[in-house]
Amino acid sequence: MTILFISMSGVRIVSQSLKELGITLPGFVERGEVISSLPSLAGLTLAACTPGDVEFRYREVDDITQHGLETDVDLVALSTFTAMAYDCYALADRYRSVGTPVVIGGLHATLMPQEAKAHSDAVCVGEGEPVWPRIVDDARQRRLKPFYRASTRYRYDLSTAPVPRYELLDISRYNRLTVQTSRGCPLDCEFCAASKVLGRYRIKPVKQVMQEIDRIARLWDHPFLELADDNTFVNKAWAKAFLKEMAKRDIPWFTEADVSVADDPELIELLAKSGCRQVLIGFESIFSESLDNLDRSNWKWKRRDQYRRAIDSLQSHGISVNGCFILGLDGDTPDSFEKIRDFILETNLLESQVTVLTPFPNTRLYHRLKQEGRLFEETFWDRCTLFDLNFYPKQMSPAELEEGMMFLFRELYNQQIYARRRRHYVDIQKRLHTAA
Amino acid sequence: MTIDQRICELVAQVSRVSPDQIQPNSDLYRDLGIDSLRTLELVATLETELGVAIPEIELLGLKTPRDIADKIAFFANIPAP
Repeated sequence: MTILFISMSGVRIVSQSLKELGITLPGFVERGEVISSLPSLAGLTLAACTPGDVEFRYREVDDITQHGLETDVDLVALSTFTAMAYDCYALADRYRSVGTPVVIGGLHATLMPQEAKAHSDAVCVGEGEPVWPRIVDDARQRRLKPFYRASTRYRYDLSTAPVPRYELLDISRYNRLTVQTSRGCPLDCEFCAASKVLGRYRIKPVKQVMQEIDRIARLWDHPFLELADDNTFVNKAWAKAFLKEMAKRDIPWFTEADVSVADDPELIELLAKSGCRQVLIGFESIFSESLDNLDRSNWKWKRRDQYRRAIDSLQSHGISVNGCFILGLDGDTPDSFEKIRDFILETNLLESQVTVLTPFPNTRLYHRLKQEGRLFEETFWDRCTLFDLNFYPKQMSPAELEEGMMFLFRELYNQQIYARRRRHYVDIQKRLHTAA
Repeated sequence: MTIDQRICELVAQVSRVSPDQIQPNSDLYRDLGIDSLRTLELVATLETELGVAIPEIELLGLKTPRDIADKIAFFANIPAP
C-alpha cells in the first residue's frame, strides 16, 4: 500500500492592491517566504504513525501543481488550513475522479467536517495520531468510514507522540524545520481557531522534544528550527529545562510565546544562551478598549502596560521580537493606525506582523459577528488570509480599515524603516559581541 | 591572512560551520544557513572585528563571502581581493 500526503502550504492574499504593494516591501516578502516554505509537521507525524509495511510519500502542493497528479497510490491524505480549503477540495475532487480515495484532516476539516466530507471519502476530525492507524487499516481493506474522530474527552498524550519522519523531506528546499513542543494555548482568545480545535494546553516532555531536535541535527548540517507551538513558555519550569538542553546544542531557533516570557530575568538569560533568535509575541493591540474581553480571563488586557518593557528586555539580550498586531478589533478607530506605527517604531521591534481580524469558521468570533450581522458573507474561506477583510468593523468603515492596513504596510515594511530597525538590532549584537 | 580568509573565518563564527568547509564562493544561505536574522549577526561581527561600518542594507542580496569581501573593501576603501 502507498499513501501520498500532500501539504496545502503557501501564503495567500486575495486583495490585488495589497498583493501588489506587499511584493514591493522587503519586510513583508521576507516573512512570507519563511512561512510558505515551512514543511507540514502533520504529514511527517502521520508518516511516523503509519505501519512499516506501508509506503508514505510526502509532497508539497506545488509539486502536484508543477508535475501533475501522482496516481500510483492507494490513498491520498490532505491537510489544509482555512485559506487553502477550496484548493484542497479541488485537488481532492481530482483524485476521487480518477478513483483514488481521499482523506482530509487538519484545522479546517476539524472546524468544518461536513463540508470536507463532501470532497473526500473520510474526514479526520481533531488530532490525527490516535485515529491514523485505524484510517490506514480501513483504507487497506477498502472500508473507510466517513468520519474519524479522536476522543475530545481524553486528549492525545504528547508523551506518546512519535518522532516525525523528517527524513522524508528534501531538506535543501526548506529554510527552517518545525518541531512541536506543545499543543493549544490556555488564553483561548475569541478569534483563535487552534484553541478551539486543540483544547486543553499540553506539553511534550523535554527529553522527547530533544530526541526530535537531535534527529533533525543528524539530517541537517546547519539547522534552523521553528517551534510549531501557539504559546511555548506557558509552563516556566518546563521552559527552563528545555532552554538548558537547547544551550548544549548551539542550534538557532524561533518560537511563539505570550508576553510573560519576559517576566523572569533568569528565563531571558536562558533564552539568550539557548540559541533563540526570535520570539513572536501576539500583542494583538496597544489599546485597552481593543484588548478588553479578547481572551476568556482578560489576560492580555491586564498585560498591556508591560509590552514596552518586555520588548526591550528580550531585544537587549539579542533575542529579536516579532510583534503581532490585529487591526479591526472592536476598540479600534481610524486614529488607531498612526498610534500602532508609532508604538512599533518607538519600541524598535525588529519585526512586526500587522494583520486584519479574521473570523475563522466556527470560532467564537465568527459566531458573534454573524449574530451581530457583521459578516460580509457566511462562507469566505479563501479570504481567511489574515490580510483580506471579511466583516464590518465596529468603529470605522471597511474602506477605512483597509486603507489603514495599507498605510501601516507602507510605513512599517518599506526599505528605509526596515533598514533602521535592522540597524538597531545590529547595534545590540555589536554590544553583546564586544561584551563577550 | 587575506581579507577573503578573514571573512571566511568570521562567517564560520556566525554560521557555526567549520572554517575548513567555507570557501570564498560558498553560498551563504544555501550552504551555510545564514538567513536574514543571521545576516544581522554577521554584520555586527564584521563591524566589530574589522572596524568598518557597513550599511546592513548593503549586505542584503550578497551571496558569498567573496561578495562580502568586495563590499567591505569598498566601504573600508581598501583594494578588493
